[in-house]
Amino acid sequence: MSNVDLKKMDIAYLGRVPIAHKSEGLNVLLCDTIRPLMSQGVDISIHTTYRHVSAIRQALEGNGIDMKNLKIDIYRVESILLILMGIFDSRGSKKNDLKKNGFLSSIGQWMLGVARPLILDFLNWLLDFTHLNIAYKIPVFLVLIFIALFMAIILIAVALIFIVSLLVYKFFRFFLNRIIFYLKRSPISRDFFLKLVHAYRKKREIFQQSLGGYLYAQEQIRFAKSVNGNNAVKKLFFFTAFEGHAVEKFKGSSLVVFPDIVTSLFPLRFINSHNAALLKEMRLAIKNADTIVCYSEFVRDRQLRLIFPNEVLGKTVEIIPQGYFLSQSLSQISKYEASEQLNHYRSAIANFFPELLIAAPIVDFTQFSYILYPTIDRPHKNTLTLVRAFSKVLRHKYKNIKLILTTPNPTADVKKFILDNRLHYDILFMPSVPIKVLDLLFEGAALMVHPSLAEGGDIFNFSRAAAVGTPALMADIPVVCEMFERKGISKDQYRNWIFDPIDANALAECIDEILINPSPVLASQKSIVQILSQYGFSDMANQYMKLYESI
Amino acid sequence: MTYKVAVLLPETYRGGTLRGALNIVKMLVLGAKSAGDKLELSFGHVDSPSIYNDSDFEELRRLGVKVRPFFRELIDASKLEPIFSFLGLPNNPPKGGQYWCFNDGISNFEDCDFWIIISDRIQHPIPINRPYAVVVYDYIQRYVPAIFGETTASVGNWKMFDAYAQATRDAQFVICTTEQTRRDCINYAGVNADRVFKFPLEFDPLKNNTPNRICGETPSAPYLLWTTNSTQHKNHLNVIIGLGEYFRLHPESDLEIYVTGVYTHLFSDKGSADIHFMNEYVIGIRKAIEDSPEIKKRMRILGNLSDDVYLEMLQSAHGVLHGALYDNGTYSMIEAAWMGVPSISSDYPAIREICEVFGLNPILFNPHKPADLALGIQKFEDQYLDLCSKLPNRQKLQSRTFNVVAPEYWRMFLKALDVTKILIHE
Repeated sequence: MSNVDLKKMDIAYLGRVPIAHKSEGLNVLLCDTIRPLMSQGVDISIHTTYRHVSAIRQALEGNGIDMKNLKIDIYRVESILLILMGIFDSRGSKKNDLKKNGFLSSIGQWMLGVARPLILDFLNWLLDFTHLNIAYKIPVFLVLIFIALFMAIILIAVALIFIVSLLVYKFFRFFLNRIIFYLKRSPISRDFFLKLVHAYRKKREIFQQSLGGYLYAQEQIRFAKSVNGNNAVKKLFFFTAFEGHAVEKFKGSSLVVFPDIVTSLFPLRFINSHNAALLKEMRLAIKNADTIVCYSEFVRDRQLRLIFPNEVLGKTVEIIPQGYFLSQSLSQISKYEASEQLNHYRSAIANFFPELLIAAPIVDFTQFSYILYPTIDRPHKNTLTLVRAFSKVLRHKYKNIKLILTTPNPTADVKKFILDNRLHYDILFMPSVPIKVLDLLFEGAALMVHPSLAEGGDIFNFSRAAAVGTPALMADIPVVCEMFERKGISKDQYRNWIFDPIDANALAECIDEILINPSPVLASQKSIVQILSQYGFSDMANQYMKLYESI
Repeated sequence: MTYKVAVLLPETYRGGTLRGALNIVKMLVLGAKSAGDKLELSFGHVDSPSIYNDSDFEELRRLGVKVRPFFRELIDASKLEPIFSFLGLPNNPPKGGQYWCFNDGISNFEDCDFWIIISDRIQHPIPINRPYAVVVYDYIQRYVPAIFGETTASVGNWKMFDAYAQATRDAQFVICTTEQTRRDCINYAGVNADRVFKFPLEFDPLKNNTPNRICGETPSAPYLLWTTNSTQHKNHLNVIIGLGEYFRLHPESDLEIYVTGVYTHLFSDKGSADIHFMNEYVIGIRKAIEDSPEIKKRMRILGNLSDDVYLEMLQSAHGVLHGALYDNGTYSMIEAAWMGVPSISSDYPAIREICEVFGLNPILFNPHKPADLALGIQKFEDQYLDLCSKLPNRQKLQSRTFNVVAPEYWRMFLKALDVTKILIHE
C-alpha cells in the first residue's frame, strides 16, 4: 500500500439552510476538490447531521461524485425546530419545477386520451340492461352503490367539520369585532395598535433570523461535541467559514475556507441579506481556525483583512485559486450538433412569466444563436446589465439571438425588466439543468457573458466556455484580472474581452462585435487557455490536501 | 387534379394588408393558370359593408375567384368536441373556451381542401378541420413592444398573442416574405423551421401609366414625403429629433417635410383629432412637433391620401423618407423608385432585403440615432443626382410585379404543400 492510500480528509458539511443545489458554487467547488482526491485514493469522510444529509447527497450526486467510495458520518444532533422552519420557508418553492417537468400534465394528457374513453365505454356497458347480462351486472352495481355511500358519508363528515369550524370562526370573529369596537372607543389611541402590528411585522423577520441563528449555533455546538467524541477525527476541513460555533468547539485542528463576503462590498444592494448571526459565525470561524484559505488575494486583502482584522491577525492565510475547468465530457462537437442535442432538453425551459405566457416559449436551438450566463442570480451577479445589453443587441442590432439564464431564482429587478420590456420570448430560463445539459449549453453558445460585479475566486464560466471554444466576455473586476495576472498574463492580452460592468450600452457594442467576428477573441482565449489549464482541479485539491496535512 | 383553396382574411383589414391579400389571390390564380393546374379559389372576408365594397373585389371576380363574405361565429368548445372525437382528430382543439368559425352561410369554407389565413392576428382559435397555412407579415412587438403596450393593462394583448402564436404553430406551413420574418416565425412564435417558407416578394404598382420623372429633375419646392402612420414602431420621435437637428445645422435648406399615412392627421394640432385614437404617444409626438420651431415651420401633415393624390405627391417629391424601427419592409420606397424618386430609409434587416431584391439604393440611417438621420439627409442632399441615377428602371421593377412573380409563387406554394405533405382531393 502506497503512502497516498493512507491519506485521509475529514470534511464538515453543515449550514444554517442546507443547500442541495448542485450548481451552487460552494457545492461545485467542494466536489471539484474531493473528486481528484478520491481518484488518488484519499479516504474522504463527510461529517454532517441528519438535517443536512439529504442536501449533501443531492449536491454530491448532482456533481457526479461516486457515493459508494465516500463515507458519510451522520450525527444525531440536528435541530428539530430548524427542520420545521425549513419546511415552513420552502412552501411553494416547487411550483416552477412542477410546471417544468410536465409530469402532471402528462398524466392529465393520458387521462384525457386513454382513461376517459375507457371510463365512458365502461359506463355504456354498465347501463346496457338486457336480460342476458343483467345478472352479472348486479354485483357490480352493488359495489358501486357501496362506494357511493362510503363517499357520501365522508363528504357529509367533511361538510360537518367545515360548518362547525365556520361557526367557531364566526363566533370568535364576533367577539373580536366587539373588542376592537370597544378598543377604538377606549382612551388608548388606535394608532398604538397599528404601530404594534407594524412593529411585530418588522421584527418578525429579525426574530426568525435571530431564533434561527441561535438554534443553528446550538446545533453546531452539539455537532462539534459529537465529533470530538469520535477519536478518528483529529482535523476538520470546513469548506465555508459560516460554521463558527462548530470551529470554536471542535477540539482538533481546523482548516477553514473564507469564500467571500460579497454583501460587504455592496451593503445597500444586499440590504435584505445582512445577517448578524452569520457575521458572528464568520468571526468565530476565523478567530478559531488554525489555517484559513481564500480563493483570491482580492478576498484576502479587501474583505477578510478589512472586515476581520483582529481575528485574522497572526494567522496563516493561504491563497488556493480554483482549478482551471476542463470538462470531462468534452466531446468537441460542433455548435450545430450541440444545438440539435439541446432540442432534447427543451422541457427544461421554465415559464417564469405566466402573466404573459400560457406555456414556456417553444424554441428550436438550431435556429438561433444564444448568449449564455450560467449563474444563480443574486444582487451582485449584475444580470440586469446583461439583460439590458441583450435587449439592445436584439432590438437595435436586429441579431437573431436569445439569452439563456440558468438561475432558478432571477432577482426581482431582472424579472421586472424582462416583464416591462416584454422580452419573455427571447430570454429563456433553464434552471437547475444537469451538468450534461450545462456542458451542451456551453458548447452550443455563441458567447458566454459573465457580468458579475464580484466573485470570491476565478470565473468558472470563463474556463468552461473557453474549454469548448465558446468566446467569453467578463466584467472588468479585480478577481478577473487576478485570475490572468497570477499567471503572468498582462491586461493587454485580455483587454478585448473584459467590459465595464456598469455600462450596458458598451456591453451591447462589445457583444455585437464578438458575434460578428468571434475569431480574434477565440484565438487569444485559446492561447491563454493553454497557460491557465496547467493548473487544474487536481492541483487545487493537492494544495488543499497538503495544507490539511500540515495543520 | 383540382386544388380547392380558400384564402381567408379574418380581420377587417384595408390598406397594405388588403392589397397584399388580393395580390396573393391573384398570384395563386395566375400562377396555377401558367402551370396548367386547376385551381378553384375562394376568397373569404368579413362581411362589413362599411369597410369593404364590391369594387374592392371586382378584379378577383374577373379572375374567376369566388368572393365569399362571412361573419365570425363563436362556437363553444363543448359543441365541437363530439364531432372532433368522431372524426378522430386527436391533435385538434377543442381544449376549452370559444372558437372562431368563418360562417359564410354556405359551407363555412369546408368545401375547400386547404385554407390560407391572412394574417396570424386571430383573436380566437380556429377549430381546424382543414389543413391551413398562415401568412405572417411581421412580429413588430418583438422589437418594439410598445405597439402591444407595456403597461399592466396591456397584458391581455400579450396573452392573446400567445394564443394566436399557437394557431400559427398549428399551421401546416407558414408563409412569409422576408428572411427576418422567417426567423421571427421560428424563434419568436416557435414555428417548426421546416414549416416556414419564404415566398417571393412582389410589387403591385399603384398605376402603371404614371409617367416616370426625369432622373434628377428637382421639383420647384423640394419636400421629403414621410410615409408613416400613427403607431409607435414608426419611430416618430427619433425622426423628428433627427430632422430638427438637420434643420438646425442647415438653416439655409429649403427642404420641407410632408407627412402622410393612416391616422397621421392626429399629429396635427389643426386637424380635428379623433378622440378614440388620441393616446399618450400621439400627444407626445404633437408636443415634440410643437416644441421644435424648425419642425413646426417645415412640417406639413397631410394625413391619409387617396391613391391618386398620393401618387401625385410622390411624383413631385424630392425624396421619400421612411423612418420605422422595424417591420416587414415598406413598399413606399419601391413605389418611389417606380416614379423615379430616391429614398432615405432607416436601416433594419427587412429594408436591406427589399433594397437588395428590387435594386433600390437608398441612403440608410440608424433609426435609434437621430443624429444619424441628420447626417443621412446631408448625404442625401450631397449625393442626390447620384442617388437618382442609381434607381432601378421600370423594366427591373416590372420583373417583380405580381403577375410576373405569380408562377414562382405558385411553384413555391406547391413545394410547401409537397414538403408538408398535404393531400389535395382529386
